[in-house]
Amino acid sequence: MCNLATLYKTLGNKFLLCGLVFICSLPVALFADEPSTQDEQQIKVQAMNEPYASIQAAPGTDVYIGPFTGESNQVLPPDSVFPEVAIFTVETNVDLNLTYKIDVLHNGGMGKLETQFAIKQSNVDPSSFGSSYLNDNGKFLLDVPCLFDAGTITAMQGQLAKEHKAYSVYYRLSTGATISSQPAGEYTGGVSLTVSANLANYP
Amino acid sequence: MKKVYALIAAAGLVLGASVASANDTVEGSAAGAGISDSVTVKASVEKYAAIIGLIQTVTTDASGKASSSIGGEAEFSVESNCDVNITITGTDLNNGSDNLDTTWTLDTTTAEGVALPQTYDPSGAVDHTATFGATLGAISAQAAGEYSANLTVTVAAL
Repeated sequence: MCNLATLYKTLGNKFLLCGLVFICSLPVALFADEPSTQDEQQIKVQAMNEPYASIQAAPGTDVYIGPFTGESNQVLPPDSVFPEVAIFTVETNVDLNLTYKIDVLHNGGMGKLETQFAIKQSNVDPSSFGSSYLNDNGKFLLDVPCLFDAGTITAMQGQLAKEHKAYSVYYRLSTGATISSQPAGEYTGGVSLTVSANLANYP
Repeated sequence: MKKVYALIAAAGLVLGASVASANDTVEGSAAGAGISDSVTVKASVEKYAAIIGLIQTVTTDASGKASSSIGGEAEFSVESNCDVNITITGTDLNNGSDNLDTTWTLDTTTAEGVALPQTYDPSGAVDHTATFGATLGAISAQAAGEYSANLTVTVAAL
């Protein structure tokens, strides 16, 4: 009984307050802003689709090249058939600046391997990475003059892509002029792709 | 039977996880700094070494007098991309019929057959000297003429 009385007391006050607010607002709702004749109103709505992109890097695991025997001036691969190290598949709704950063492979100390790379663009379905242009050995024939020294280069994806664009990265590694130029052991580097909107054609 | 289903489900989960991790996808706003993704590239260099310029440089001729000395030096360099042990072994001086008991030493102090460690030196090859020597017996114990011996240098990674 005490509980029922307390509940009635609490809710009763709130019902009374709501009723007063409703009665006071009725005239406003009934008579305000009522058009005397037929009227038409338009409103322009706007929405912004922000620049957006996705990158799918394949493979998701570390890529291994070699091993080097330790000889000086050893080049891997030994000819112009380069291993495809990575494929970046880019999907976007805007023009893009593409920045590739390729690290020189190093051993954490003073040892390093001379690192060069090349990039090839291909439109492939992401479900069939590489199969459309690689040979039976999974390698791609590339001209040596296409190679860049390790570092950073920037390119542009020139138009709004209605499809996925794939960028393949190829490596060419070599040891130095002497055996002792590079100590034996593991060397690590990497390639990263950064994409950012190129808004020159978008007000 | 439940255990079999559980195993199949677990295998499916593991397979699914590996497939999901095979291709890494990053997405987000392309405005400003944009987004980036990367692939790690690894290579390895095997242990390797070279023996350079092994040549006899000095020979001390014996006079033929009993108990006189005969010997010489051979120089070489070792370049490696890792720590190595250097060992020399040499034969006795011999003229085809007479034999002289010959002692070989590497870099003055290391005896024949004993490994001399050489730590990796990024600056290049390291020079070494192999010294050989023998003492004549009686005048008639060894015939006059040319004597020769063979030196073998072995380099092995530590």
